[in-house]
Amino acid sequence: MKEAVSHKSPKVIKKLQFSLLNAQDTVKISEFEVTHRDLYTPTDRLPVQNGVLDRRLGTTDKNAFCETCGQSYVNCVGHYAYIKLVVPVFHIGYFKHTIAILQAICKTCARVLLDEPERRNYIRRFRRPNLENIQRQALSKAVNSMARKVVYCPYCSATNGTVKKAGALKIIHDKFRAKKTAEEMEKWKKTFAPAVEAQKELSMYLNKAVHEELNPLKVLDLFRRISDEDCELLGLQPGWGRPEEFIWQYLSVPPVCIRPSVAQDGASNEDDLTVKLTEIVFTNALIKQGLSRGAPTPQFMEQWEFLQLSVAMYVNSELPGVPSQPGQKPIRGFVQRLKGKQGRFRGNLSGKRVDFSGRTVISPDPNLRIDEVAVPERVAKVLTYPERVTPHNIEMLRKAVRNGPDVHPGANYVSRGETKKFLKFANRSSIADGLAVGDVVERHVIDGDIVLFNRQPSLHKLSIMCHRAKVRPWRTFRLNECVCGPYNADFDGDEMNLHVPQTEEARTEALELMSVKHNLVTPRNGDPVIAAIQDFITASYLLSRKDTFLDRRQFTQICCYLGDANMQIDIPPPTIWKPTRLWTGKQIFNVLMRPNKQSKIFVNVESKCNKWEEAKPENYPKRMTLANDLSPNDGWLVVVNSEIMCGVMDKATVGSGKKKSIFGIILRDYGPHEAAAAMNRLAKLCARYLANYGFSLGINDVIPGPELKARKESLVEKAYDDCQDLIALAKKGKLENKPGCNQEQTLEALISSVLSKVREAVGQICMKELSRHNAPLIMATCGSKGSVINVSQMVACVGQQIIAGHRVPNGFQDRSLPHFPKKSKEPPSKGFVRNSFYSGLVATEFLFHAISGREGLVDTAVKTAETGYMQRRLMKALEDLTTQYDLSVRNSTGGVVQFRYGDDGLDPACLEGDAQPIDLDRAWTHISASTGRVGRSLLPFEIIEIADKELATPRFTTECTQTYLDGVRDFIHDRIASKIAENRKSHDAETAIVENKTKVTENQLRTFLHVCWVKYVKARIEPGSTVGAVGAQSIGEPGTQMTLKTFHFAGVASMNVTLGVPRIKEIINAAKAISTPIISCKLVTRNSEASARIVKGRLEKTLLGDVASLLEEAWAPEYAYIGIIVDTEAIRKLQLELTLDDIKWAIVSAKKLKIKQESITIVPRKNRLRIYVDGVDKYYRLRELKRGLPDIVVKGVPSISRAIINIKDQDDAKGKKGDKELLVEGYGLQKCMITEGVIGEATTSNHVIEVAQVLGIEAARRTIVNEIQYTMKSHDMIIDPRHVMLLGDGEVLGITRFGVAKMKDSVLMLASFEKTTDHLFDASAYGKNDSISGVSESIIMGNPAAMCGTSMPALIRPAPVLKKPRKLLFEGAL
Amino acid sequence: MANTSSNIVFDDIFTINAIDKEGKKFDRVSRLYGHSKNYDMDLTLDYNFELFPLRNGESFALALASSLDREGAPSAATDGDEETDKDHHKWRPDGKGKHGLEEDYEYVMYGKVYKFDSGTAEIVTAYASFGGLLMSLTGSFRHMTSIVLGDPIYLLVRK
Repeated sequence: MKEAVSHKSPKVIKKLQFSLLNAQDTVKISEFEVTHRDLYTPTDRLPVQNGVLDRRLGTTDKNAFCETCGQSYVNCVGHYAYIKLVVPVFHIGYFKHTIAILQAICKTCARVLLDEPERRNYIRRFRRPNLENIQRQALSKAVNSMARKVVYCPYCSATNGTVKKAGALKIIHDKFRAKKTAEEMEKWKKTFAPAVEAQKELSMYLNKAVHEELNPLKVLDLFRRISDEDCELLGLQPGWGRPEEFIWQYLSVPPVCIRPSVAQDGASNEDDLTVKLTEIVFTNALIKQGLSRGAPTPQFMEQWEFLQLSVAMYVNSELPGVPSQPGQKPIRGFVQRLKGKQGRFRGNLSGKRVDFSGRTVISPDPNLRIDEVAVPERVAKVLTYPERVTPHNIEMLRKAVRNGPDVHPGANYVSRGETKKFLKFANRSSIADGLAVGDVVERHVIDGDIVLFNRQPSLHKLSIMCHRAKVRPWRTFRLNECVCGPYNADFDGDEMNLHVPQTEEARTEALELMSVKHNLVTPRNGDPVIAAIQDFITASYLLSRKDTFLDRRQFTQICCYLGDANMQIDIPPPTIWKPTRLWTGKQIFNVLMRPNKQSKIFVNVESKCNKWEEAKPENYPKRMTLANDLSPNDGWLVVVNSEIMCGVMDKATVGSGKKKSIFGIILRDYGPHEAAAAMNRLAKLCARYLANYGFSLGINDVIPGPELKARKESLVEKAYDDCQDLIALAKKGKLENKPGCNQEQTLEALISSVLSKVREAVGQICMKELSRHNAPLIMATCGSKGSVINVSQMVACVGQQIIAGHRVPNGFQDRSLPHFPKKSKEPPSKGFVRNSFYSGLVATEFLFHAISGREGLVDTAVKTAETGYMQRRLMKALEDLTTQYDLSVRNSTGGVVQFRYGDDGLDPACLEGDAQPIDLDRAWTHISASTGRVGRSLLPFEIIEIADKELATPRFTTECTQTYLDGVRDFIHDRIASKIAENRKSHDAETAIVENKTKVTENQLRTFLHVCWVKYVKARIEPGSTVGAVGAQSIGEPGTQMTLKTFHFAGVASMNVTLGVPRIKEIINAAKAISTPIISCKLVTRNSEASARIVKGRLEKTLLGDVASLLEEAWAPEYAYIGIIVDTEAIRKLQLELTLDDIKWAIVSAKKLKIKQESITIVPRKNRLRIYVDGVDKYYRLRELKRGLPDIVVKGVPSISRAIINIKDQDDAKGKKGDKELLVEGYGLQKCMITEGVIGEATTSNHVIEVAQVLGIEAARRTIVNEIQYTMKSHDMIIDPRHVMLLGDGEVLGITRFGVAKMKDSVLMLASFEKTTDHLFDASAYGKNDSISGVSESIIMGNPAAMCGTSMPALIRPAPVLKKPRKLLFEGAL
Repeated sequence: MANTSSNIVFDDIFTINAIDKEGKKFDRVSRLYGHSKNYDMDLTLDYNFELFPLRNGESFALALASSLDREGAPSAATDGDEETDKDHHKWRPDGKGKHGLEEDYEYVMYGKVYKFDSGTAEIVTAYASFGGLLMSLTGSFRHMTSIVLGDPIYLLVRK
């Protein structure tokens, strides 16, 4: 049994300093030098002395002991050795840095190539105190780019050229690259003259490019000569690593425990690292031998290169430029061990394996409370909790100890101090008798224990919640179905994990923060997520329908379903007294909400049900003002003091996702415990009621009646005919084109709309014609499962199959399948399925349906990968943002992101109204109904007086914002006081009717004001909230529910906007080129189409080819020219403001064609331009011009491909219905804004980067928020604006590996994100440090996450004065 | 008009002019539309037609009572203390005990007046719900002064 890691370690790691392992340290930590290449002795198969498996390095053999520390393989931590390389080699990790340094220094005197003033300037900047890593990097980049341009060294005047990489591990210096050094090169080449004379063959080499190879020896020599001050200029920190340490001279041999040998039937299997090490040792020995014997140079060079490669592969086996041998499995170097999802960083440091956890299949159990989870007994006997013995629990624990590990409420271990006893083989009764206060008993999990329950993928914080254990027989974890929502669980074989927190602190924290009851709502927008689902909704609906009447026996029976005979239930008076006493189903729910008279739960709510049919005024008396309540299908819910007045219980009223559902209301008004209790009652009621009532689906439910069948047939036939007509019209070209579409697209759009109307109409018929007892119909109406479309697909008509947003494409030549005539556009050939699933699909229909189905499957597979990665990136970017005690949002380094979270400091999870802390209307009706109408009615002026006085009290003024107070005051003024005044006026103060309509007592008003205050104060965000992580989850999690490829028409059919995951991705990547950039321009004259066209002409790109009717060549002996005839008619029709002069200048300014102004003449009368061509190659020049001319932009903005005039179809913030606006496709916001006729201030773009460039970051932030909200809204997902604001604050950076690297400073955090090893090598090369302040770093180091959540409050006291430890005299030596 | 000593808060004879105008939506419940000549009131009422069948054109007498006691309760009790209020609406599961107004009628429902429309006109509409079966009563506010918002109410009908 492993000991739990103590969290009370005496020392805390404050920061990590990265540095280079230099040769001296390598030797210092080593036990011996490895000189022998063999692994085992041939005779007795023991590790060879001085080999890479020497016993002094530790051992992996179970029967052997380490020869250094003498311990077994379990306890020995391992020891190091070293290899002395005969010749230095480059370190592959620092190769880039090596090149960068070489570029910046003189290759002769090894000084940085900066003249003295510059040098001083940079040194000063490098030495600035508290310089951040990011700035340091920028500085060293600047030094590098300056120095590499210098040709003559300012100190020794030597020539320096460019240094670059040649091949995988070769650096060359092209000394005479600069043009001005040509002379010098000649001179240098001349020095070879005598040699060439002696050996003629040399001259041919001399003429080739001259490169100096910088081999490791030369580089080492240069690096050694770099002064410490110069190191600083290069961005290095000489204290933590000098450049010569970038080059391998001594190779450290790691302990064998990290590269264990696996013994396999006699032979042993060695780790990749061991193999590589032997290879290095061998090559090294060869070179050494060669040098001493004087082997030929080529052989030496070859061996040196091989050594170089081996050492590089040892570190990183995926070298760019080194071809891997096919058929041979790539070895795992150090880099590969750290990298990737399974690598050390993400696999072992950021995510760790745990004890006290279990995993099994889940199944439902409505009899459990929603905060319970049923734990199988056999699981409960393995998972334990270490409970300390106190006088209160000693008897219980004694019993547990007696029971031992095999009987359930037992225990596995008892520990006292350091000793720990396993109870299986111990004398249990004597231990039980000897149990004393202070002992710790590791007892089995019992009922009521706190456990964490989790289902992957854990996309948001609700994916892991705290339940109470309930030990049950059998083998599955069971949970109440209501809790499926947040986990996204179903019972088709899903498995879930269970963890048992092991300390009281952990249990308390889990219970307070992660408990199911405290997570009934999603922090995304405050909607309830834990609520009735599927069958519960169906049962509630069936029970609460208007025609459910129950006699006394039935009613009391159903009331008993509510609980487990453990609560007082008061039966309400019956609804019908005579002829017989009957209760209605709705009264069951009254009992459910408020089971007895003692209960103080008064629910008051008014909301729309899932399907609300509005009552038609013509059916009711004219003089009556119709209330929503009279909905003919009972689709309007009114609950007054926990009594349902009208409306049914369906998805909208007991299901998730609606704030005004019964449970949402109970939660807000009476707290989570009451809401959970009501939900428990509902779960029991529905499960038991439906089990008795019976609800099943058979073939009868999907057989259409004759009427339905006939009407559907006629509808489909009519649609076919309509399509045929459209096709015929399109053939003749007589369809009126939709804006921005051609004939074909118009036809497609029209046919699609006709066909989609058919499906809708058929669906409506189904709803009408099918019986009220039809099971699918009931499920569709109450929203428990399926929709009208699903019903009509089963019963009547499957409808059009869509593939990639269009009708079925052609898979054969000009047709979708060979069953149809070529070029056929009729509905059946393009994927319209007229049959239903009941009647059966014909072969072609079946195939089309299968294609569409396959597309859906592919889509989901792609989607999961895409959104997963998106979520990860969002999380890494925002993980460390938390609210502080001053309610500002800061990152882990203390940088302020928002001064007040979400501008008002409110928690999105606690908001009740639409992004507001209170829904004033509902609060008022609730208060006025529940506080009772007893007392004197207030007069309007009294109400205002009381309200003003109360709102001016300090508790309101100090705690609430002014806008909130104004909101409350206005509400009281407009909705309460002035209404009474009006009523009194019109009814001549006739008390009875005025009081009935509007009575306000002082008690009511004061309670209302109090509730307003309480709700506001409760909704404030708590200091230490991890708003970043929650925000990232709130944006990432809905992404997984979005369908991948969706387009949406931005008003005009031809202009699509990308939506869904791709759009979100574009936004968070801060993509420069987005797929559908659209600028919408508000026009000065909004009502005239003609002026809109003029503006359109100004913006849209017009090519010469569009306005020229002819481009002609004219040849004459003296001259040749191209004649352009401009089509003035076309220009007039397009309403372009274009003259011949404009065209001329446009041609001249087209740089590519190089046409001089003089060569163009204008013939104004004939609307002609002539471009004369001179020179030798007249013909070719003329042809070139003729090709190029049509593409010249003569008018408009070149980056704008097209503009479309859009007529608004509804009022919004930017204008009224019927207004015209321009939608511009393309880039060029600035150009659009300054165009005459466009209101610049009201012009918006959906391109974040462009907005940032043109209008600044405030506008860009606005755009980010708007675009994300728009995208989410079009998928029916509502996210609180506060989350999105958090994403939009700060500089516009993509959340990619580049953007994140700019945002974060921490090495460990970056290493755990992407490009693990690059960041680590960088860190050690530049001597960076990591202060372990962020979340990722803390997790990697095993600390509680710093500065967030429960680790934030701390006791601060002055540190005790400790004497500095005396430095040991010989510490530096060894 | 109801006299002060009686528990009957409203009493009139209605003639049915339509049933289920918006289509038949439920198995046992219909909505009738009626008009009274006496006070010129409009009525819509959901009722159980299995227990009390009605046909278009028929007339019926409708009374609304705050209690089934024949004698008017002391008026102070209506918004007096809870105890007496509760006493008014007590019922015995075995159907025994004191009988009152219901003996004179064929169809009796118990419910609650929960809403008055928010307009300021002369004509007002009161809404009552009997366990989900709705009644709306429209007419001059002068005829509805005894109906009190939020009070339990009995609906009594006879042909």
